[in-house]
Formats: sequence, structure tokens, C-alpha cells
Amino acid sequence: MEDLNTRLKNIIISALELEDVTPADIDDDAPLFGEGEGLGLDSIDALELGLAIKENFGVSFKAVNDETRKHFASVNALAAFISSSKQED
Amino acid sequence: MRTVAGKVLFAALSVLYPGLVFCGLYFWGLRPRVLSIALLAIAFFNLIALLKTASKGWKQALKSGMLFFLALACGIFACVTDSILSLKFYPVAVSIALLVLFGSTLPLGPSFVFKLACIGDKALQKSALRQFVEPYCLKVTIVWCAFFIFNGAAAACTCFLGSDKLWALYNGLLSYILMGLLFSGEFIIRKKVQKKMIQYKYISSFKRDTRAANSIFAFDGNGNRNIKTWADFTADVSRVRQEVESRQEKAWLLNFEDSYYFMVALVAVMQGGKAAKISANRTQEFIKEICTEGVSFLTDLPAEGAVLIQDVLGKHEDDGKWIMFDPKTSDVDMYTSGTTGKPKISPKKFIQLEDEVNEFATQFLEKYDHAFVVRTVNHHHIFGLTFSLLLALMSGVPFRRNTVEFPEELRALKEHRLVIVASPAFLKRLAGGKNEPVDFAETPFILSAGGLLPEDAAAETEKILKYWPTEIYGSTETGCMAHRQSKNGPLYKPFPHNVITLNAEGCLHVESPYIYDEGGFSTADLIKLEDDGRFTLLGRIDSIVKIEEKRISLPEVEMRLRQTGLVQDVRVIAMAGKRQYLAAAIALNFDGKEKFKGAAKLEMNKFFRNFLSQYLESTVIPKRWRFPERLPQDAMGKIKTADIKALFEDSQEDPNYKILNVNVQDNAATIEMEIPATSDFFNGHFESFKLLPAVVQVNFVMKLAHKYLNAPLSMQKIQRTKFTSPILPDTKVILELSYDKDSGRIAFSFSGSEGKKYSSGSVKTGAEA
Repeated sequence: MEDLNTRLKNIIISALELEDVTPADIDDDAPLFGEGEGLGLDSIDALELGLAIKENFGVSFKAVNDETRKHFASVNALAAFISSSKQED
Repeated sequence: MRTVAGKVLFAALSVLYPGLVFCGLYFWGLRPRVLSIALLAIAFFNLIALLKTASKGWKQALKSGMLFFLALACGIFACVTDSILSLKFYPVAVSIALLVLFGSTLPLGPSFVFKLACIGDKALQKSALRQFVEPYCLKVTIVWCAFFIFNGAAAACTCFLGSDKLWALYNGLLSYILMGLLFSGEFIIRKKVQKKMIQYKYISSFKRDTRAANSIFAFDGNGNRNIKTWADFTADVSRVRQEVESRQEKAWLLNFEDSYYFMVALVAVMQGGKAAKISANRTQEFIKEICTEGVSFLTDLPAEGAVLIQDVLGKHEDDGKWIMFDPKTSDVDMYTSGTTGKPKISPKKFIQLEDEVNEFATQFLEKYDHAFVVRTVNHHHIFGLTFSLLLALMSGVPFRRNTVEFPEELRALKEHRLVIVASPAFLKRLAGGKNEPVDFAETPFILSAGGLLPEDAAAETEKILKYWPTEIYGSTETGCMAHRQSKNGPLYKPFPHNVITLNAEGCLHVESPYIYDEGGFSTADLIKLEDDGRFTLLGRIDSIVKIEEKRISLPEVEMRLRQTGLVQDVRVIAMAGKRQYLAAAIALNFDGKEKFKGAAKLEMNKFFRNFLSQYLESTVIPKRWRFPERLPQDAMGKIKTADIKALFEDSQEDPNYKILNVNVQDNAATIEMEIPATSDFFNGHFESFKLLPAVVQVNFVMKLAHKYLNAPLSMQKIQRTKFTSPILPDTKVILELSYDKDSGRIAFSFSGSEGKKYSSGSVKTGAEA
């Protein structure tokens, strides 16, 4: 069974139809959004990714605010958020 | 009759006046008072002339008016005072009047002598030749002004200081001799200057002896191969014209590889009184479509049903005739390249082409003087036809018969003064290729049209070819509209015959005497118009797109990407799939290739993405990237959006499947394909029993129906789908697709070559309900 991070990366790639990117290319700590060394995703991607995460993990983001933005910071942050949300259920 | 007699008497009286006065005083014993009648008569004749010309405005009436008043004043004064002096003063007055007449044109122009020249040659005023003739006429006017000052002063000396004899000798003889000498001297110089001057003429006014028989008309290679002279040209036109005259066709479709044959055919068709249709497209289908009743295809390359010009030339003898044709009624239909797809026809009269070329020549004719004209562009399109061929003919300078394909060919021509009619595509390739500078004997003149030439490519061109290209902005429908040299800023300067305004959409609208459509022509180019009439091109109206509600100008993104200094050519397009996004196709330049040698594509994507993030929001930063060796373009160097799109849709390189054969008919397609065992599609499901997952099959259906049948990529639901048996690795499958636009349904079936059914069903396309 693949770990949560790899699974997340695969979801990101397929949900956002990323080209030329393999799970290995995504750094666990690299920012997903905005400039720099990350994936350069935008707000539309965020909505799309939110939807994919809901479908896959049953975890939903209620509103786009600073809190959620923090969760989307990196793969690690997302994984942590999903794990903690699932435990709450 | 009376007016002719009057004119003769008037002229005789004016010329003979000094002699008349002298004879009257010394041989006939007449008093000055009596002789003043001559002056009053001169005044009377001038009054008649004045009344005739007064209606044409004060400028025309100036000469007669001045002479009338001066003669009248001198005459009355002589009559009243009975003095010789006022009789003798009249020649001085004439010099003053002529000085005023000539000199008054100097500050504002056009000079008096040029005006006289225009009376002799009515076409001169509008002709591009004017720029050569006018400065010469100005010099002549100045010389005459100097002469009138001298002559007036000399006349005054003889009037006030000299004897009556000397006065009569100078004003009645010497002055005329000096005038005659000046006039004939100028005439000889004028002939010499004219001989050296560019022999510019409208093609429709050519005669058989317009050029010297042995002058070079066309050449090939580096200037001395396959030369055709003017005599060859006139003879060949005669041969082809006879063929055209002897046949029933009303129009001829012209397409040639060799510019010489092209010009022979064009002029011959015009002389034969038939219409010419000019098309760069010579595909069999297109020719068939055009060559219906009364239209035949004349060409220099073998084609089905075509008349070969080489055969025609062998069939007829030169009959020595040269037929004049009326350019106002001669049809030349131009087929545009059709950036949007289908070639469009743009009907023109021959005079329109000549007039448009003339407007361009009004600014740039000097560059064609003694030049050799070469082109890298297709001569069937307006830009190539007018600037590399028609203007060469009109200027009497030779043109190259075949296209220049490689920069090296220009190097071979470096001994000549060149006019290079180039496409931005050629110059970009030249600039990106790290070419060594060419040591031209004389600075060439380089024209670029058909698309924007990026500033860095223009700068690089100057380094290599010694000239910063002059860009011409225009189209088949409008002719040339404006020009610029981007080193002087991005603004285009309109040619004076165009009136440029903004239309409701903010696009350029042009009116010109050579656009026969009522109300002018609206382009699809967004511009920013300055107060002085100059403008900046902002891109095509369809180049402003909305990406997820964010407005972005595609040329702006392209411009930013160029700023990396690594890009030879770039095109950014808007794509839509699950979401809207931008996609960028970049052909790297030399530095770019060096930089990314051996780099993974993801690295390149990242580099450009990060660069853009300095300027653009992440939503409008391209999501997909292609780095082809060269951007796909047609022969004119035009890059079509559809071809760029195909770069992003093309999945042939996909190692996961292979399309073997495709057969598309109307709304159905049969696609033969193979999915190799190495394909990723077989991974993940069952390790021991590899099969092609259903989701992949549906994905194929969507993707290929989109590609071949133009079905939308988005899916609403899958209906009535059966997966009968699994598709195993390395199997060849046949996918049959049909798309019904009305219901938005794609029906599909996967089967084996022996008719074995794998799966079938249908998919409803469209947005999710």
C-alpha cells in the first residue's frame, strides 16, 4: 500500500492533469502554490484539488481562508490535515 | 485664331520691346511718350491673361498681375513725364517679377520648376519618382532666381548708368543669350541626371523599348546565373500573350516557382485582356475547385490539366508586338493564405496594385535604385508580389527568380546592393542561428512583413546583415498601411494615403483611395492610436482571452517569455479541457539550447514558469509547455493557431499507445491502434493478469473523438456500455467512433482484427448536468 504522501501526489497529478510531473518530482515540503520551486498551482487548481481530496478521503474544506491555505502549503501539510481530519471523525 | 494671333503679338512685343524702344528713339525719332504705347499694350495683354487666370486663384494670376501693374505703372509714368528712364526700367521690372514668381515657391515648395515639370508630365505629381525629380527642380529654381537677381541688377545698371545703346544691347540681346545658355545648359544636365536616375514607370505604361534590350531583367543564384534580359522578357510576353489570345479562357490561375515565368505570365495575361488569379496554393483539390468553366491553370511545374509555360514558349514565335492594357479594367484576383482556414479571394484591379506599390515607393524608391531584389517570401502573396517583383519591374532593377532559402545565399550576393524582401520567420531563423556577419559591399535594404518581427531578432539581423529591418504592416485587402523600424520605438507610421481610425472594438480601421469597398476596411488588429496618427499594435482581437475570468493578452505573455533571451520564437494559446489554461510552444534560440542541454523538460517548464511569475498571476501562467525545434508554420511564415494546438493534442509520441491507421468519414472514424505490453495502462490493476482498464478505453474514446471528430472533451455520462472481453497487451484493436453533434453522443466499439468484440457503448458529451 502506497503511503499517504505518494497517494496524494498521484491525486494531485491526475486531478490537475499535470504534465511532465511524476510523484517523484514533487517535493514533500515544496510549496504547491505560487511562485518558487513548487508546482505553481493557482486558485482554480485549489478548488479542483479540494474536490479530489473530498472524493478520495471524504475530507472537505469548508471555506477558502487562511486556515485552508495553510493546509495546501505542501504535500506534507495536506497529509497532516487529512490524517487529523480523519481522526476527528 | 484671334487668341493665337494675339499671343504671337504679345510674345513678340515682350521680346522685342528693348529693340523697339531703341529703334523708336534713335531711328524713327519717336518721343518716349509715344513709345509708352508699347508698354501700355503689354499691360493690356497681361490684363487679358490676368482676367483669364484670375478664377484659378491668386497663385496662377500672380505673374500676369505683377506684369500688368508694372507695365501699366512704367507706361503711365513714361506717358506723363515723357521720360526715357521709365521706358528703360521695364526690363528691370520684369526680372523683379520673375524673381518674385520663382522665389515665392522656395520657402514652402513645390518649386516653380517642379510645377512646370508637372504640367509637362501629369503623372509626376503622384509618382514615387517625384522624390528624385523634386530636389533637382528645386536646384534649377534656385539657379534661375540667382539669374534673375543678376539679370535685374545688370538691367538696372544699364538703365540708370549705361548709355541707351548699352541698355538696348544688353536687354535686347545679351540678356536673351544668357537666358538661352542657361536654359540649354540645364537641358543637357537634366538629360544626364535623368539617365542616371532610376527609370521608374508603371508597368501598364511600359512600351517595348522602355528598357535597354540587354539590361538584366531577372537573375538567379548569386546574380549571374540564368539571366533573362529585357529583350527576353518582351519576347516571352509576346509568346505567352499569343497563346492567351488564341484561347477561350476568360481567366488564368497563375502559380509559379520561377518569378521570371510568373511575371511573363502576369503581363501576358493582362495584355491578352484576360483576368489573372494568383494563388500560392497549388494543391490538386484547390486547382480543381478554381479551374471550372473558362479558367485554366498556367504554371511552370507539371500538374494535372495544367498549361505549362515552357510548352507555350516553345510553341510561338515573338511577333514583335507589345500591347498596352488598361490597368483600371484589368482584373487580378489574389487568394489570401487564410490564416483562419479557407483561402479567401481578394479581387483587385491592376491599377490598385500599381498605385499601392507607388505609395510605398514614394517613401522607399531610393532603396531600389541600382539594386538587386531578392526575396525569402512567397511571391504569390501581396507582400512578395508587390515589393519583390512589381516594384522591381517598375524601378527597372533585376529580381531573383528563385526564393532565398538559406542565409548563406545572401552571403553569395554580398557584392550587390540588395533589397531583401523577407519574412519574420526567415529573419528569426537567421538571428537565432548564430550566423557570422556578412560584409556587404553596400548596406542592403531589408523589408519584413507578414507578422511581427521581435525586436531582438531585428537587432540581431542588423548585426548580421547590417540593416535593421523595416517592417511593413499591411494585408492583401488593404495594401501596405504603415511601416516602422523597431529601433526607433514600437510605433508604426502610416503611409500618407491611409486614414487610420479605431473601430468600435478598438481595432484598426483603414480608409484609402485604393480600397474600393465603401467605408474602408476593418482589421482584427487591436491598436493604440496616438494623436499624431502613429500607432502601436497590441495583438489580434482574438489574442485577448479570458482564463477563468482573468483577462490576459497572449502577446504580452509571449513578450515576457522573449525577455528571457532564450527564445527564438514563441506562441501562447488558450486551451480548454477540464479547465481553461494557457499553453506555450517555445522554439529555443542558440542560448536557450545551450542552457537546457540535457535538462529534463520539467526543469525547462519550471524555469519559464518561475520567470513569468515575476510578472503574471499564476492563473495566466502557461500550464503546458512544448519545446519544438521550430514552430509549425506555412510557407508565408504564418503560424496558425490550429497547428500550435495540435502540438498539445498530438499524442503520437505517447509511448503508451500507437495509432496505426485512421480513416475519418463525415462523423465517423475508424482507428486502428496498438497498446504495447510496456504501456503504463497495464500497470496497477492485476499484476498477473494485465488488461486495458475500462477507464483507459473511455479515455481513448473521448480523446480520439475530440481529435478526429471535433467532439468536446468533456463528458457528462457513460451510457449502455458493455465490456465484453478484456483487451490484452500487444493486441491490435480497431476503435470505431461516431459522433452525433445534435445529441452530443459518441458511440464507440473496440473490436479485434478478426471481428472479436471487446467493448461497445456510448458516451454523452457536454458539461455536467
